[in-house]
Amino acid sequence: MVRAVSADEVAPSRHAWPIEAAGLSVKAGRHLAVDGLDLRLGTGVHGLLGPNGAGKSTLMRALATVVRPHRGTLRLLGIDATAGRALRPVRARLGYLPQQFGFYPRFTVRDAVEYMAWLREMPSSAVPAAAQQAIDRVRLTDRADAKLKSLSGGMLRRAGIAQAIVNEPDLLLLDEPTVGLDPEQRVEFRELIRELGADSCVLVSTHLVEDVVAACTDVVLMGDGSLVFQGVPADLIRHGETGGVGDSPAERGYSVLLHRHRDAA
Amino acid sequence: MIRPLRTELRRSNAPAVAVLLVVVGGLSAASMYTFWQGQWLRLGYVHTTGMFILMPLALAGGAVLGRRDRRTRAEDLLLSTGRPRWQRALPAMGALGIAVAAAHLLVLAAGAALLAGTYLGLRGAVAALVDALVLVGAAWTGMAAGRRWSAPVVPPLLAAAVLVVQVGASEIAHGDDRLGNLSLMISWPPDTVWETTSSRLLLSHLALGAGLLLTGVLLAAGASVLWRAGAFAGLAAGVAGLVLIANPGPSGIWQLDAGAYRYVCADGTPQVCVTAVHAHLLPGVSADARRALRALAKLPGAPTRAVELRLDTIGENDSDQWFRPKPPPGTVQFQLEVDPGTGRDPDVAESIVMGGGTRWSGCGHGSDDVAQAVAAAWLLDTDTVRLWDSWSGFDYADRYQPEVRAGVQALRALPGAEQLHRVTALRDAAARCEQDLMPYLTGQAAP
Amino acid sequence: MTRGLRLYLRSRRVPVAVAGSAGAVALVVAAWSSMMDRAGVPAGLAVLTTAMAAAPFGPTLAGPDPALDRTAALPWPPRRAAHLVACCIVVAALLLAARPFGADFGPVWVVLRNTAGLIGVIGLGAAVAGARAAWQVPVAWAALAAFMAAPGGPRWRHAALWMVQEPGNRIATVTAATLLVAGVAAYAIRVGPQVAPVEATMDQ
Repeated sequence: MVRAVSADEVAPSRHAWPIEAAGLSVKAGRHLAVDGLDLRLGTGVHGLLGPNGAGKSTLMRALATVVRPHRGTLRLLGIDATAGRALRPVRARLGYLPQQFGFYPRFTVRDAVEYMAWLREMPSSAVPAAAQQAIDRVRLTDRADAKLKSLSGGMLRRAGIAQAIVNEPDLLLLDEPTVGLDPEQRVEFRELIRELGADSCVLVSTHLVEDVVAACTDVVLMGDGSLVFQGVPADLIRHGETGGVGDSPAERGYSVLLHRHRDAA
Repeated sequence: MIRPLRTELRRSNAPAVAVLLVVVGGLSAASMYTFWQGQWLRLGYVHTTGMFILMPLALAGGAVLGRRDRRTRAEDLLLSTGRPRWQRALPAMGALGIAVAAAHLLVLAAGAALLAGTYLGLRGAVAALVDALVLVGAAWTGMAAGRRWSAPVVPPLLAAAVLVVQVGASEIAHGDDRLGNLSLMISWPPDTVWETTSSRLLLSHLALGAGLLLTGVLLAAGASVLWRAGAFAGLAAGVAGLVLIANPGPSGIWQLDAGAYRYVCADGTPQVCVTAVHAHLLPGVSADARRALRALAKLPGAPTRAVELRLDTIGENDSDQWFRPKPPPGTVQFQLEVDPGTGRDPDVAESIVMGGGTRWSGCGHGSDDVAQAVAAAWLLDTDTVRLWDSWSGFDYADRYQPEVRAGVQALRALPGAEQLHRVTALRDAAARCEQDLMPYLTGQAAP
Repeated sequence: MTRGLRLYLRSRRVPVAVAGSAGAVALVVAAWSSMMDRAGVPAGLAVLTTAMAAAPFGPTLAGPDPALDRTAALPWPPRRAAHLVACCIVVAALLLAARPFGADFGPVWVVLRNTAGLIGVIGLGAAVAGARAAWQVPVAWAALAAFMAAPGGPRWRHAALWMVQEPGNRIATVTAATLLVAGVAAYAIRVGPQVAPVEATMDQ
């Protein structure tokens, strides 16, 4: 694919970490859903785990610049994300799949992906080819001109992934992307994010520990709004060797770490 | 920008709103077809008064579209993108704006197609352009309202409330109160066919349109207190302009359209002229009028030119107004009243020769129609004449038929020179504005 | 009021609709009675006020998830019919209650006829095009009727402009009754156009 490359895309990145948060607190309504989180994520695929209500989606929304942090510092792609005006270049290099992917039901998949490419300020000449490629990558080629409301749940999720990757983002945030995907599609999806993680920072929030173990280079575990554990999947498995509940070592590691965190609190 | 706009044009509710406006606008125009048949400026009135319904519908259509982001939970995704707020709003606003404006102009274009061949002056289309702007402004303001209040009752309530406010205001104002200007429904139809919406009224609608547009644009651009205050001020200014600029009553609403009012004359002699709005009738009218002029030529000092009667002010909905203008010397005037059933005036020649060409001689409505009709029938070499009017058709004239026929027979029984003498005397008396004409025919008048 | 009924009403956002409807009518009544000496509201304005009072109930004809409603064990059709008839009663009551406050929207019979017919059109609209779009036809129809508010004319005109006819007009009464019956039946049986499951989650 040929597309125009702007100067800041080829410039070497001057930041050490695509995501860099220190003492980050984010409110969800009145409740402090993320509370004093320190997190640094580099290039690669990161899995974000945690029980319901741990603040994963709120963190994702903050990273997607949807909500402004309440306290603390947050730098995305080296730019201060707490300052309003500076966000525009960050947002152009961002991809985001919200937990509830909402879009206009009467748009076709292609309409939606192209529309998002426009919103992400891609040069308009590059949009059709980029949209087609994104749709191909999530294997929706034959439904590209079907309306979103006619899709099944899994297909809608894939359409959501397509819109998130259309601008080849440097920072890709996927909130529960595998909900509704069948096992085969999940395998294909892992393949896709491994590809994407080769030169960008991908953060995948999920409840499926095995997805994280299979596809992620790094695991982030959240509980009650703060960081519980960060390490490679092998570390998570190692924690599971000594006990915990679950059907796989990784699941056991997950439960052990959470229990330890709750007991400490 | 072009691609998202194209997408919105196809996928948003813009096409549905356009269809709704075309159907409702078309229905309201069609229901008054007999009123504007063959008359472009009257179509203009029907078209602009329909704004009373179309504007609230555009407002509600905008509110439906404005609710969309929150309704479909797309807000999070949109907030994560770099386009500034106003740019994000632009494609949907553009699409709906194009849809409502196109719908409104389409109805006018369809009407113009039905009127092909008649007078289609540009001045008559100005109101439609201003109204299209009002519709765009209403749609954009509606979008802002839908974004702000996302409850599903907002669009229907908005549409119905604006309708109620308009009708309520015109009921409460009842006539000469400026409050009635709040209603886009025009309560006084134009009396004559040369009248078009006055510049003042257009200006007041333009003020409303500009206010609504400003409101929609400001609320799309920003949500802070300052933007909102600006938007509110824009809306208030627009409504104030609507209420304060236009003068209530027919004289504030209508003005003469110079293009429609000017005379268009048939080739050849004797000269026959009609106003431009009736130019399409000229072939038939000129034939009838020349027949009438030939008949009048039997009398000494007969006019050599026939022109359509026109008023130099807007009409006053008073049938006497047609009998007030004095004809220029050597000219006979006639009023053109078109039968909607046939699309032509059925009594041009008859009405011209009434009273020897004195029916419209500036003396007011003569009281002696029978004597005038006897003279007309005598001049036309017929047994009788029947006059047509748009209220009663031939009914009014038919009541006097026996008297007219008897009068013509009695007149024809006289010697030829006496017949000519009596008809000439009647004509001269009528030209002097005498009311009692029958004695001149029966020879009982004082010499 | 039973707990089930209360939850049902809340799930259909009936309180908002009643508040909107009552508020709008109250504003009209307040404006009319403060600015006019006579209580009698002209037919055109009365018809539009009726449409304004009825329109907010359109969105209450669909729940948040139609598919979930469909799976309920309760028999829906009679309940849906009752919902529509109740809307009719509420709207008519609101309009009739305005009388002591100085705004008379016409004889009881006319108010009932117009409310019934308009609610019927809303029910038909909900069954054909969905609850959210149900308001469009009644509001536009009422506006056209107010626009040409002249009783009489040929028979088709009596039927088309049934809202502005005299109280005793049989054609208008029959038209309104037919619309109500058709609306209640169509809504009770069909509810609305089928909504794809994905659309139900995407479109609130």
